[in-house]
Amino acid sequence: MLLDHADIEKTPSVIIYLLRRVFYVVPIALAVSLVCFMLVHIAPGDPINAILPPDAPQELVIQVKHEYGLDKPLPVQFGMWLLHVLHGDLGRSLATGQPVWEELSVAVVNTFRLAVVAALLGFTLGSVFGGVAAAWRGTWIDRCLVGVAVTGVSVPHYWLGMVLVVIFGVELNVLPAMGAGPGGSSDWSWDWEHFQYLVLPSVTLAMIPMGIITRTVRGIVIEILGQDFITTLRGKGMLPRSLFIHVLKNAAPNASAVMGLQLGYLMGGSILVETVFSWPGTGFLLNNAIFQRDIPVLQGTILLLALFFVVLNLMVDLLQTALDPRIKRA
Amino acid sequence: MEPLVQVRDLKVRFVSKDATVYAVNGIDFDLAPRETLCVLGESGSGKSVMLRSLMRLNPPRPTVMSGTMRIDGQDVMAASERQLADLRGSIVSMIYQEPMTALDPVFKIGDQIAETIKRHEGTSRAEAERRALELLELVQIPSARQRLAAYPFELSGGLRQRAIIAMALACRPKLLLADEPTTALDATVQIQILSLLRRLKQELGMAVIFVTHDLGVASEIADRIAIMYAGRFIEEGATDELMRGPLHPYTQGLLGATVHPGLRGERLATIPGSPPNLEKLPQGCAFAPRCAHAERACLSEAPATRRPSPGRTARCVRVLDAA
Amino acid sequence: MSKALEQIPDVGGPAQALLTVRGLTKHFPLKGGFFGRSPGKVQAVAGVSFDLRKGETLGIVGESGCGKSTTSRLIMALMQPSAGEVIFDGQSVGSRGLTLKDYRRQVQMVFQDSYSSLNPRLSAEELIAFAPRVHGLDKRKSLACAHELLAAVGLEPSQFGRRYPHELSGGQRQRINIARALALRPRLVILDEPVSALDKSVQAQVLNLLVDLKAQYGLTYLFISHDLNVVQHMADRVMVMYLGRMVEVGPVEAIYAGAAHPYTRALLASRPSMDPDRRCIEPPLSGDPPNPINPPSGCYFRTRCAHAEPACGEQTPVLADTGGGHLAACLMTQPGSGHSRSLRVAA
Repeated sequence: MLLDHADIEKTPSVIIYLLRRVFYVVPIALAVSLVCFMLVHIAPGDPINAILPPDAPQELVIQVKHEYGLDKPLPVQFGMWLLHVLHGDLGRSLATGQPVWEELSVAVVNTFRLAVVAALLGFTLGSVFGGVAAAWRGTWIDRCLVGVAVTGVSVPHYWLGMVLVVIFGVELNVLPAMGAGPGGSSDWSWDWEHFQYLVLPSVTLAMIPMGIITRTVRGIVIEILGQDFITTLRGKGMLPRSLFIHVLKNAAPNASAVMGLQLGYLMGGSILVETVFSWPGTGFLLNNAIFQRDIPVLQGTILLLALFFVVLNLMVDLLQTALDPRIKRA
Repeated sequence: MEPLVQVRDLKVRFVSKDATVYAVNGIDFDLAPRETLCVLGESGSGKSVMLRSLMRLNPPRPTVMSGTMRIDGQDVMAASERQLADLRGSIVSMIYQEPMTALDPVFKIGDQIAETIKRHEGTSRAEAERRALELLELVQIPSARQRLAAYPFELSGGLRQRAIIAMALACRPKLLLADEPTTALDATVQIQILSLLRRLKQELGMAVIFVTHDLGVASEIADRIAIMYAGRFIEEGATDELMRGPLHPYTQGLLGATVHPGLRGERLATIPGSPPNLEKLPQGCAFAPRCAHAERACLSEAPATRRPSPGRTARCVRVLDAA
Repeated sequence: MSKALEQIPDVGGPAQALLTVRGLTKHFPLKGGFFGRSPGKVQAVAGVSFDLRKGETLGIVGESGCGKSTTSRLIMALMQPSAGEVIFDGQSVGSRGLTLKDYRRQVQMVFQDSYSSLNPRLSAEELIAFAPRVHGLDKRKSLACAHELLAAVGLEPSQFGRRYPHELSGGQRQRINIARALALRPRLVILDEPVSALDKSVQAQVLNLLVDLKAQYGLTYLFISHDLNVVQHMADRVMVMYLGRMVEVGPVEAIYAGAAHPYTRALLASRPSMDPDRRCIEPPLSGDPPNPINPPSGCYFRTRCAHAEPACGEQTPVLADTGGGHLAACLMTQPGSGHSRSLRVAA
């Protein structure tokens, strides 16, 4: 019943779709910032403690509060912060006095490095495990690999991180236990001297994505292998390598959507893993900011992360649309 | 002349932890080149399984096959995986019942046809695409050139089935296996596809084994008809002879039960009961529980094949061999 | 037997049509549109009007996309029409004189897919007893009613009553569907491709059963099918639909012997012949039905019609009488319509 005499219409609906999604970014980012702001202020603990010692004289407290605008009503504080953000100013950290933007940008880069390595590791292992498990479904190979996947998802990764530190960092002493290498995080190069610091945290971080991707890919490939067109391909004598390509292209849209989202979560920074390894990324930054009630850093980091996730989702959707011709563009 | 297809005592069963399904229980037949055989049966007769068995296309793990099959002189039963893959799509091709799902949804039609040609004949990409276009025109798809770049979901059921036929004919097979290719199509499209298949098999000199449950379709396209019941051919013969003078009670029942003009106001003749469960086949004739003429001999063992006249067979104790 | 299980008596008398449908139309809006631009719509059913007389079987035939299933669901009030009305025994459905609940007691439906129409968690007798229970009958009487109906459809109650749908064959499930439809003693049963999914030998059994039940329970049937032979066997009158419109309606003999509309003729000629000597040489129709989102102007069938002329694109043919209650929507049958062949049809 679909088009046959009529030509297939192709409108520039991808552009419309893009505009619509970009349009939605603003209210989402705003809402996230607002929620974060309110949560921080509901939590007990006074940000002033990060700046001044507890026994500071009252007048000094009032003065500092006034300088930082902490004595104004909450909506005003939020409004002011928003105004500054629109001018590109994220404020200064209450704890260190440095511009939030500088601290953030360094942290973000570190987290990205860790996330990308962990993602590559986790996705590769996950895809291979998942694909093999699906192809040998029901056999011991399948059961083994699913077991590995379940373990990866279930093991608490901060515990795993600490175990790895104990084994490799302390007992065997082959890999460093913490930090981002000589020169801190600002002087990075992809040589072994620096890379060795990445090994343990990225292995730790890769466990969960590996487990998730294994199970996801396994499910997707099993479903594809059960479809009629696989019989058609076998029936016309296509060789296993052709079948592999067909399965790959069919699996790609859904699998890459999941991978994209996983990458997003990784890039959001794992507070737990980064803290265990003292890896100076956004998670580490957030962790410290929470304990110190460092509101500007908190707000800035969360805003950036929210924007990041929205853009990531958009890109994943576009990728999926590009890979799967069946999804309508509008 | 040696027959194109020679099948002897083909048996196929599916073994799993819970039960064994005896889908095909001893099939013998020959098929000459350019001949069209229609295998007619209802659901649970094993006809689709038998068809797929000819190319050994059943799922490998639960399937257990025995007997012999020769296609174009090649022993299909003993063939290796690679030999089978070379056979499929080039000497023997298959078209399927559900055009909506038989094609890969994320590849273009033209690419799917071209890849078959490249696989079997090693042609260049450009040559394969050129031949794909020719094939689309052969199956009378309008605007063939644009359709080459179309995805399956952009085509209607009838057009998809034509594309599938084009793909199956890409390497000029000697034998076409058709698994109910018109069942899922509208009546006006069905007759177009049947007509197309008739013309193409003449032009390309193909033999065809066509599986269907529809007597009318069999009548339109077959030179010979084999009636399948519970995994056996219970009657076989030239189309007009069989339709006009069915020998086996099941065939007679099927013809009587088929609704056709002229039955208005009368009760339709029915076959009581329902087809047997292939997991628990009775010891004797599988049709005996439903047969009005069943005798004691029918229950003890499955009737042997009787040949009442040349080209006619029936597995029924009431049918006598030619003197 | 309690009041809930009796057929609601006739209101309008024998001359009143049991079901009257006037101008029934249904649009489905398309998704899409951006910033106020209105999306297109699919016209699934367009201006269907017919009468269904008491005690008759009206067949509706057509290919996929013709709107016959949508029509049946509109009549069954499973969806709201975009326009038009349904009148049952003289009263408008949904009006104060005939609430939806009363209407549903009198009109029931049997669907094509026997498996998905049955709740897999209920046994056969529970499925049939369900509706009477909802309408107030107590458990014992509902079960008794269910057993009676099981017997009526040819299934031994002691053997089949406790079985679940997955334990039954296609034919048996369809019998359960029929029994369930009869549980409230309806007057009209809409059968939407009731035998299409069944094997031919089982089909014959179910068709015989439907004929018997019609006489036994005093039913009127609306029989929808794509299989022309089955409709010829079952129906008194037949209606042919194409892309949402009625193209022909009339007594079964008249249409099958001499169809007036070219589409009907093509449909009849598309049936595979049972005679191997009289095979179809050239398919009567080429191509596929046009896009329902963007149908042709005027007569929808003109893009595939061998007799199409410019006049066919300029005006939409209406159903007009060609004699004896046989109506067709084709310019060729209407004198003075502008089609070159219409002049010859003039009486």
